[in-house]
Formats: sequence, structure tokens, C-alpha cells
Amino acid sequence: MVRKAWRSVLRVGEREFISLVLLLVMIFMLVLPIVYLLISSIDLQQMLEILTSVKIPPDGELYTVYNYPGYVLIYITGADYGPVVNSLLLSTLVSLVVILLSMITVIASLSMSRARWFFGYLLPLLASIPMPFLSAYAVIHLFHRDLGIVNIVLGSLGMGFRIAVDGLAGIALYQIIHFLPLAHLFLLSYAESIDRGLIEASWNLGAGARATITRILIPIMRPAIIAVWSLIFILSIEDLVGPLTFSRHNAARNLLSYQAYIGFISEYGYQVSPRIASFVFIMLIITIAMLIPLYRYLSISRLGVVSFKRIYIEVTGIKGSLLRVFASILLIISLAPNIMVLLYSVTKGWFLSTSPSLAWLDNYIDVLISPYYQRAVINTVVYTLVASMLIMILGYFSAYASMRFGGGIATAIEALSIAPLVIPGVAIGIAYYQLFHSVARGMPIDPVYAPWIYLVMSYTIRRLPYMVRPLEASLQSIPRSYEEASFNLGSGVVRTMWGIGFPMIFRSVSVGLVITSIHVMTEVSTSLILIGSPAVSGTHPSPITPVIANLLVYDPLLIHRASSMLILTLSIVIILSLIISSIASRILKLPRD
Amino acid sequence: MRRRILVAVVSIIVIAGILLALLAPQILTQQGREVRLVVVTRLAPEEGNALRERFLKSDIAAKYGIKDIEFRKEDVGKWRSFVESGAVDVFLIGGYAVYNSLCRDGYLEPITSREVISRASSIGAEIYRDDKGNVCFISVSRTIFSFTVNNDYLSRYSLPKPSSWEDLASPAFSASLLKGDPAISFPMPSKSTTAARTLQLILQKYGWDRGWQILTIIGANSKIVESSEKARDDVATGISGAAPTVLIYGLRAVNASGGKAEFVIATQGLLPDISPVAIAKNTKNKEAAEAFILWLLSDEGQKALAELFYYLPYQLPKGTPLEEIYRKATGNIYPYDPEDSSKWELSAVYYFEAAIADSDTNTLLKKIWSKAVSLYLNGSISSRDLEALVAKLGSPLEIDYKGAKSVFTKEFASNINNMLRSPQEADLFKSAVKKAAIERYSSILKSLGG
Repeated sequence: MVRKAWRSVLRVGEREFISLVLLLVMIFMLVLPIVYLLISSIDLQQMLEILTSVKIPPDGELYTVYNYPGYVLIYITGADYGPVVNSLLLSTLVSLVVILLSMITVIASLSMSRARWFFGYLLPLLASIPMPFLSAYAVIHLFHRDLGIVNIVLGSLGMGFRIAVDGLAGIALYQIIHFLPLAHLFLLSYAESIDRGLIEASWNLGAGARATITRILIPIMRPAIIAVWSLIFILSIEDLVGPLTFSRHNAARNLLSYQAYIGFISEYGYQVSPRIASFVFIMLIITIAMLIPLYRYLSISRLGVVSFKRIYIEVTGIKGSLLRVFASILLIISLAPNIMVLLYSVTKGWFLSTSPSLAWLDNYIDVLISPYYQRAVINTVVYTLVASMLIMILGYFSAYASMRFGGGIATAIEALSIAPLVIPGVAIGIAYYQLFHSVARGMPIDPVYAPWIYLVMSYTIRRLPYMVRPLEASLQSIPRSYEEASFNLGSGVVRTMWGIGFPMIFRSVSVGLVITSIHVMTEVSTSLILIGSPAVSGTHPSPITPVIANLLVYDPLLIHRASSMLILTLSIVIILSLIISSIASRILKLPRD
Repeated sequence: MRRRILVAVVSIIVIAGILLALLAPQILTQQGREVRLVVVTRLAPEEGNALRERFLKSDIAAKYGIKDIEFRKEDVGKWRSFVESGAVDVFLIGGYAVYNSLCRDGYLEPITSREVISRASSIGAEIYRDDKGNVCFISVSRTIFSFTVNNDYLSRYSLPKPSSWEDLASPAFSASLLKGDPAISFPMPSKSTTAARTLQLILQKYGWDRGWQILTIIGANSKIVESSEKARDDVATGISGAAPTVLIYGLRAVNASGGKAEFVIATQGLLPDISPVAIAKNTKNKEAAEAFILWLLSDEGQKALAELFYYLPYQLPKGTPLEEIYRKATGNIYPYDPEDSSKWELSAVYYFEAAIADSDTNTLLKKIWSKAVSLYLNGSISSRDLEALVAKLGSPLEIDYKGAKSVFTKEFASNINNMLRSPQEADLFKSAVKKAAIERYSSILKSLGG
């Protein structure tokens, strides 16, 4: 009734009305805060200073060799070219290496038959679960110059060398390990959607594995490769966990995301200075500059995450075996930090020590009996469920509008639904604080007192693309005749999209729901900025990521408790997402596989 | 029909979630008209949690009907907003300067309970009054700042155990820097009260010029980290050999390291600090707030502060590890003047972060100091030459700020201190300092053949 009234006032059709509302919601949640931040704080002098702070020749060496009694230490750090060039170089290197490695693992997975579900899907799915702070901590635990497990093993084997990775090189290593499974899943999923007839035709015409891969597979996958490369580039440039972990080395602090975040957080209160706004603006320019030329690829490669096994590429002989072994090792290494976190959760006293003791479920019990941790877990679950539902609704509307409505507004909706991928979380967090604190200062909805409102909003908009892209892929693949029949029988747009389209793509919605839930509950940047330090009570508003950050800063031995809290919450969120999907599936009377 | 049910389920989840998050705190607190105190603090969440559990079990909490007490660790910049909205009852822990300015600007409710004032006087707790003689805040305990070392790290790099702040800036303590691993973890003072206090102590104890020289070399010999906690963890794990720490963090590092770390009582260089408590203006629970302060000053509260946080209570903590620390600390406490340092605190913090801790200037400092120490150790330069280099390197810079060139003297620092509260001015100041520092360091590095 209200909708009809509004439509009559606006004199627009149902499609235009939905598009307009979607557009306004996205502008409010994404564009407005960012524009306000930039307008209110930008300073050209600071911008120029940052842009011209390029160090040529760079500070430091790529690596240095130090002589110790009995061994040499190869200390790999990377050279420092200043924040802008460092960020560009790091993201370029990480994204290229990740694409190269993930293409190897994808091809190896496509050449696997029975093992594909395990190495191709299960391992990378587990490895792609973000473990904020803890997995980066695990990387230091593995690679520290004196105390890292790798060097301890090298020492105990009597090797005459040690390898340490620190600074920008440490961040690169962390990011490659962190992003590889995600890139692998996207690319494998895309590869599985290729028409198997093309691959079979190649075999039938006598082409070998190499020719099929280089002349058929890779050219067909090009849009996805470019899209995933740009996605990894952007994820790398906005990453905050890597720089925070390796910040003891000066070059690691010379990154745009670190400079923006560290300037904002201060003992003297949150400060949005012109310099911080300039860092944010430069990051935005870089990511938008990436988006514009590559938008075509991002737009056409609607990436899912899990697909049915559809194609097989035969790579035989010793080369094929080597490829599969190498790819399996890569995927296992990418899982190593998450396995370390799992081990932290069931041990104690493993604080940079090689001799942990088993704690079984003690750490989990500690979390369950403390009202402070309980509250963080409950908050996370509630925020995640609410945000995931909002993402599902907004995501389906956006996907449907961009795939079915056509016209300028649909294009704008699609662009805005991709945009959160390229807008760094630090920028959104700072922009939300700046805008809503200015507007609602002293009111009950001020982010200082009610941060949860803005957390749910920022989670919804930041993780929207994780839902929209797979849904678009699914909408593209279903026949439109059912929807046309619905329209012909007199149904409106809303009824048709929810009554016909939604049940038909519900499997993608279910997968998207689980994935977005995981990414919402492990969100770091905006959570840290909007929550700061959580209050200590049974009623504080903090989700788990700021609590984990605080636990780690309070007492290093609490890494075990932090790990158990993360794994417990992850388990609850995944189980609840699956239950909700299952219930919805029963309500919609969808057939089982 | 079924689709409508699905829409209804989704809507219910969204609405229930929002209502739960919005109303849960209010529902919980309104049960039985309980008094719930909100304490804004600089205590870590875990610390607040421990203190909450102790207090809620006390007779005083029961007597005044206090059913819950919430500790919120908040940046001091937000404290005034909390007062304005009436969302805070008590402030606990934080610097003297913060409480002094809150008192001066009318953000604190005078403490009027005779019982509280009389108890504070009887145990020797310091009472701070405003111009009209009202009690603005009370110090419920004290703490000390010094540094913690990791003996494993020191022996790994054959470093001498430092006993004073000057020792941290000695060439002998820089041997690990020559292997690419600076021995100290030093937090950024704008993110760490410990680092800010350390700056103030060194500048007061050694004088302005010599103080900056020592800080410059400590900076060159440091991994710059974001927080006191990261510095503490580094020294506990053996990632670094030393870190400035407050007593509690030092002792926590000792525990976490299994005894490899050691809290050092710096010779004549302990910085004492108070642990203030105050009542916020606009509180609706003044009586309960005063009851909480009374508990902090009681035998039970003093014991809790000593046991939970290793704060030095006003009553001697007999039979606890703190008794030994009391003994060692006696005679080594520097007569720190918080009033003096509050005049130039912000200028010093930003100057340090631009000239010493900034990633570009710090890299240059490390290059210079590594080169100088190598030359000194192989006999190419004398100790006098090294001292001259330190003086040249660390003496306050001449900066071009707001169109005029000025040396960063103590007087200049005091003059611009309040101005730097504006983020725009802080940016301009830091840019000017960084520019001057890079010019000076580049020239010195060139003269050393770097």
C-alpha cells in the first residue's frame, strides 16, 4: 500500500521504483560517507607530499646475509620505495604470484578425478576461512629469524643457513598464503563452467594437455583471470593485518593502508586529519583506477565459489604427477596458518615456544563461562545473521535488477554492488565514523554509543559483492521463460523475482549465505575502527575481532583463548547458516540432490 | 503461502536481531531497578573484567545495590562526549594531565562523601582539588614506569644488561642492530601512555637537549611498534631485548616468558604515576560512584589493585611480590613533575614521531647509527667523536613551521602545544619536523660515507 502510494507520487513503474530505492540505499551506505570524508578533510598539500614521497633509489636491500657462528642468515625484507610505490609494487607482486600459483593449482585440480573434491575444493575452502590476526601471527611463528619453526627445524637438521622473512617480504608471503585459496576457488569455479565440448573437441582433434591448456582453457578463462587478479590486487592494497603484523620493520609501515589506520588511532582520540584523508583518497584513486578499465571483466566474470565437477583435463606422465604433487603442497601450505590456529585453540603455553601442552577443551570452556566473551560471541552471531539476511535481500534485489531490468540505473546498481570490493575497509570505517559522528554527535545513535548500527551497515555493504556475484552467475544460467510466464499471468516484479527467480537460484543463495556469513564475522578494519576497545561487561557491543585484538594485546598467552573463541564462533555461524538454508529450502519445497 | 512464511522468517530474524542488540542492555539493567555503574577507563578489558568480578562480590556493592559495573576502555579523546551524554559515572586510570583538564573544564563532579575523603586521607592517598577547594579526583594507587629486558635475547647478541635509560642508548647495546635486529621495541607515544611517559621522564631527567639525544639513539636502536602491549610481547618472547614498560606489563612479560624476561628498576630513573579516579559530571549514580571509590580505597580494594594489576597501593602490600619491588624502587624514583610535562607533552610526542619514529626518518637514523657504531667498534672513531656525532644527530632540530624558522626548544614546544590539538596543525608540524630531520640525517649520513 505504502509502496503503491510512493510509486504514484513518483509516477514510476515497479522496476524503476525498486531500482531507485536500491540506488538510494547504496548511495547512503557507501557513496555518501566516502564523499563526506573526502570533502571535509582533503588537503592538496598533504596529497602532493604523499604522492611525491618516492624513494629512488629505495631504502634497504631486497635481502641481506648476516654471518652467525655456525650458520648464515638470509634475511629477506624487500626494499622501501615509499608508501605509494610500496603499496603498488606489493599488490602487483602479490596478485601476479597468486594468479600464477592459483592457475597451477586449478589446472592440477582439473586433472584430478577422485581427489578433486578434497584438494580442489575442501582444502582451499578451509584455507580461505579468514582467521584475522591469528593466521598472521602463525606466519611469524613459522618464519621468525630466531624463533620461527622453520629456522628451528633447519637448526636441528644442522643446516648451515637460516631464512627469515620480514618487512614487505613478510607481508607479501602472508598475503600470498592468505589469498591463494580464494583465487583458486574463484578460478576453479569459473573453469568448471566452461563448455566441456570445447575441451573434448580439443582432445578429439589430437591436441595434448599443454595445447588444450594454453590454447583453449586459459584464453576462455581470461576474463576470470583478469577479474581475480584485480580482486587480489585490491584485497592486497587494503589489507591491514599483514602490515600490522610485520610493522616492526620500517618498510612494512610505509604502506597506504597502515598509514591511514595508524594515523586515525591515537591515545588522544580518533583524529581524521587531512593527511589521513589523503591516504584514504589515494587508495581510492588506485582502486577506482583499477575498477574502470577492468570493470568489463569484473562484470562478465560472475564468479561462483563451489561448482559441480564438469570438465576434466588429462595431464599424464611424470609431469602430470609433479604438477599434482606441487599443487597439493601449495594448497596444504596455504592451509598451514589455519591449522596452526586450530592447534592454538587446543593447546596452551605455545607462545613462540616449540613445546606446547595439550589443553583439550579448556580454552573453549574459558570462553563459554566468561560473560565478556559470551557477549562477544553472541554479538558476532547476531550481527552476522542480521547482516547476512540484509545482504541476501539487498544482494538478490541488486543481482536481479542488474541482470533483468536493463538501462542506466541497472548499470549503476551493478557498478555500486561491485564497488565495495574496491573501497578499502579502512576508508569505509573512517568515513562512517566521520559522517555519522558529525551528524549524530551526542545522540543515542552516535557511533560512539551505538556502534553496532554502523557495524551492521558496514558489514552489509562491504560484503554485498560476495552475494551479488554468485547470484548474478546463477540468474544468468536460468531460463527466463518461467519469469515471463509469471508476468503474463499478472504477477508483479517483486512477486515474480521472489516467487519464481529466488527458489530457482536458492542453492547459490545458500552457498553465498555461508560465505558472506564467514566473511562478515571475520571482518577486521571497520570493526576495529568503529568499536575501538570493547567495554568489559556482559552487555558490551563488540563482535569478536576487536576482542581478539584486545586479548592479544592484553596478554600474549591468551592467543589460545582467542583462537578458541574464533573457532567456536565460526562453527556457530556456519552451523546456523546451514540450518537457515535447510529450513528455507524445506519451506520453498526444493528437491534434494 | 510458504514463500510468505520464508519472508516472515527472514524478517523476524532481522527484526529480532536488531531489537536484541538494541534492547538487551536496557532490559538487563532495568530488571529490579538495579544500579549499574559505567566506568570509563584506560584499563584493558581483561583488567576491567577482573576488577568487576572482585567489586561485585564486595559488601559495599551489595550495600549500595550495585548489581553491575561496566568498564569501558575508551580513548581519552572520547571522554568528554561521554560526560556530555551522561553515559558515564566514573573515570578510572589515565594520566594526571587528562584529569586535570577535565577538572579545570568542569567535566568532573566534586567528590563530597566525608567517608571517602576521610579514608583517602587516612591511607595517604593523594587528593586533588580545583580552585574552589572541591575534591576533583583522588589517586587510589600508584605505579612505576621503567623497562623490561629479555635475558635470552641479551645473551644471544652478547648485549650488556642495561641498568639505566642511558645504557639503552650506548654503542654496546647496539650490537644486534649491526645484525639487522634492533634490540629495543619502542611504542609510538601517541598510541602508548608508557612511551609518552618515558619521553617525559628522559626529557626531565637528562634535560631537554641531552634528553633528545638519548631518545634519538634509543629510537635508532628500536623497532617502532604501535602499542605498549606489542613492545611487552616482543620483550616477553625474545623478539626484542628491551622495552619500556609499566610495572604490570613488565611483570606480565616475566610470567609469559617463563622467567626469561626481567623488570629492571632503572637507576634513579623510575617514573612514578598516579592512578586517578573521579566522578563524571551528569552522573545519575553519584552515591554508587562514591561507594565504588570507597571500595577502591578500602583494604579489600587496595589489595585487589595490588594483586590484579600490581599497582602500588597506599598500604604496604606485605607478603606479596610487590613488597620486594617497593624495597628496590625506594630511592630510584625520579621526582617527576607532571605539571611541567603537561605544558609540552603533545609537542614532544609529535616531534618524536616525526623526527625519530617515522618510518623514513627512523630508517635513516638506523643507517647512521649502524655506521657510527661499526666505525667506533673497529676503532676508526673515538668515543669523543661518537659523542659529538650523537650531539649533532639528536639535538633539537631547527624547523620551518608556519613561515618562521625556530629551534625546537622547550619554550617553543610549550608555546605550540595547545595548537597541535588540531589535526591540521599536527599534520603541518609533523611535516615540518620530518623535512628538517631528513635534511639533517641525510647530510650526516653523507659525511659518514653512507
